[in-house]
Amino acid sequence: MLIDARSLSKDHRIETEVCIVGAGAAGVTLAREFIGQPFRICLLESGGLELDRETQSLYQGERTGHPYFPLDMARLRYFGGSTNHWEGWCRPLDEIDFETREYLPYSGWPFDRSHLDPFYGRAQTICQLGPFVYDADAWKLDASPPLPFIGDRIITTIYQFSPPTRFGKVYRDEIARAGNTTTFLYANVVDMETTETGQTVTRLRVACLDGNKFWVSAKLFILAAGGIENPRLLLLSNKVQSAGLGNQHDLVGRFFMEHPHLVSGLFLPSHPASSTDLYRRPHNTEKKVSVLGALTLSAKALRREQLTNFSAILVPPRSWSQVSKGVASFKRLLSEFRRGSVPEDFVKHLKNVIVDLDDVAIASYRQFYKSEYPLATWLALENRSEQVPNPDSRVTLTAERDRLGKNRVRLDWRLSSSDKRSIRRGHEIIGEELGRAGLGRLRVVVDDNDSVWDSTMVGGFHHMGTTRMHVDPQQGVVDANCRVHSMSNLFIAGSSVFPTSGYANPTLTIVALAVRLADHVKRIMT
Amino acid sequence: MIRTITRRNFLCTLLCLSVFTLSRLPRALVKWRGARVHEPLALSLANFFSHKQSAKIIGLQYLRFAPKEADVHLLVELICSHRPERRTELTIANVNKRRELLLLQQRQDFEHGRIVKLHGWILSETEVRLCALTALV
Repeated sequence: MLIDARSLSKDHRIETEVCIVGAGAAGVTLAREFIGQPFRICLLESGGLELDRETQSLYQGERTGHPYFPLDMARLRYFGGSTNHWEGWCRPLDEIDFETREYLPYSGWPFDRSHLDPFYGRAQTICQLGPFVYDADAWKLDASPPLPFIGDRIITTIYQFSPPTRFGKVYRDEIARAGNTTTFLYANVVDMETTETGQTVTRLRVACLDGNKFWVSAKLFILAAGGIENPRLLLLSNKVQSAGLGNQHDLVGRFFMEHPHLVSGLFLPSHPASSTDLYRRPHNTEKKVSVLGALTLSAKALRREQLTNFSAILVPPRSWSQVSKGVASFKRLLSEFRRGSVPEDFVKHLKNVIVDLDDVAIASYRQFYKSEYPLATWLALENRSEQVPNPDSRVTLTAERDRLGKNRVRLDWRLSSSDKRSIRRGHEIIGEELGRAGLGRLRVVVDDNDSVWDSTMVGGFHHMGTTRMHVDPQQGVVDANCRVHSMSNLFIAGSSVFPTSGYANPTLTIVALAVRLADHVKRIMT
Repeated sequence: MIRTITRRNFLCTLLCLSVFTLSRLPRALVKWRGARVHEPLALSLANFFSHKQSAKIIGLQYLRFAPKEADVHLLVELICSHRPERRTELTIANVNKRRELLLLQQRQDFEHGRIVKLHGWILSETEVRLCALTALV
């Protein structure tokens, strides 16, 4: 049953067994897994069935640190959550992503990849993917074979593409029909009340934007509101525990991670461009799922070089600005001059223009004569990278309040110098191996200044790590079962529990962890 | 119509010409130093690249990075790894065979870590030296 919460009477009291906060990939998966169980489910969704600006504006917040997307643009706040606009990129985290790596501070999950494999298998079906197979060689493709590297440093891996599954549309009827599930739309959790000890959540205060408020009492609560809203709700619930729920060790909101996306290299293939077809566009397979190849370093190479994980796909360069720093600087200078100003880093840009004067000349030729001069022979490497867990990269509350009177958030996204160094070294290795195999040459375009990032480096709208998982309460907000340490009945679902991020898009892992959590809750409740 | 040149314009033109000449001087010097040694194999090796202009640009960049190698004879020796039999092999080989040998040598460079990072490019020592030769010969 779907109910518009605005139609409830004032201070209405809802009694249930399990309350899920948020109807995105995690929340919808949990609700589906509970269908037919001998307990009642209450699913609370902040938005309705379509996007509306008022609700979406509740996401607004400040941004400091590395430039980031406006927060109300980064996620979608209505039934189905951000699956309403995702592109469907899927792959599991790699085995090494779960490992405690001595060279990577704060790394290590409480379990390994093999533990999560059965849940990944179930998540594949939920995300409407093919078989749980991510080795490039295992697929029969209508594309060129993987690049024939020599040795064991570089491997070709696979992304699968979900249709993409719009969870809010594909699974809406199933959830609406479920006898044990009631979904409340336009229902915003504004506070979590606890017992006097602060160890058990008793009920949630829920508010609608029209002013209506009601209560939800349950035996067990699961936050599935996303990587920024999950910590926000914990921090806002500070009546009994002044630092917020689960925040005795000042970990809630810390370790915010994204997947840095950037053009990291330019590849000049020795052979016709068709030999790289696998890495350039999704390909249909006999199993009716689209897949795309990507270059990664083997776990052995990552360990030996002490690098974070990453993958790179190949794309035709969109412009000479991507090919040449000099051209990018030239464009920047031109645009600043036209506005009558001089950029602060004028000397740096001028130097780039002088060093790449030949590129600038070719780019100008292309611009004036609308020519297709040589770009077609190049391929850009688009990198998606694991971020080093960093306690200073964090989400906090600000004094500003939203329409419901709750403090907004400040996102301070910080990357470390080892993030950049790792990406650069990883691409140097790709360049060495391309040369060794006679496949072509690579120009690494990640510069040597590790403390400064190019403004073209962006995130992937992936919010991770802010309620990290660790068996030790001093190192994690949730335990291995995603229960908030020191809380008896509060659980968290979603990418906020990731201790490390890998490079894979998070949705498949979010769904796998939600399936796993659902199994755990079923055991508790029955 | 008679056009008069002012003293100011004349000096300005002279200054521009001087700056231009000075800016070309290091390159000309490098070229002169390289070309003064007659080396028959150097000419063959310098023909390795089909896009000579690009090779020259890379070669000059490399020579800025390794100015001691701005010498045709030395570059040939380095490309031949100071091995007389390698020099003979490259000298008697026809164009295709020479190309094959040099491509293999480049791949071996990558295999054994003889790599040069130049302006972001990950290149083999052999190929940057071939580029340098192209710039000098």
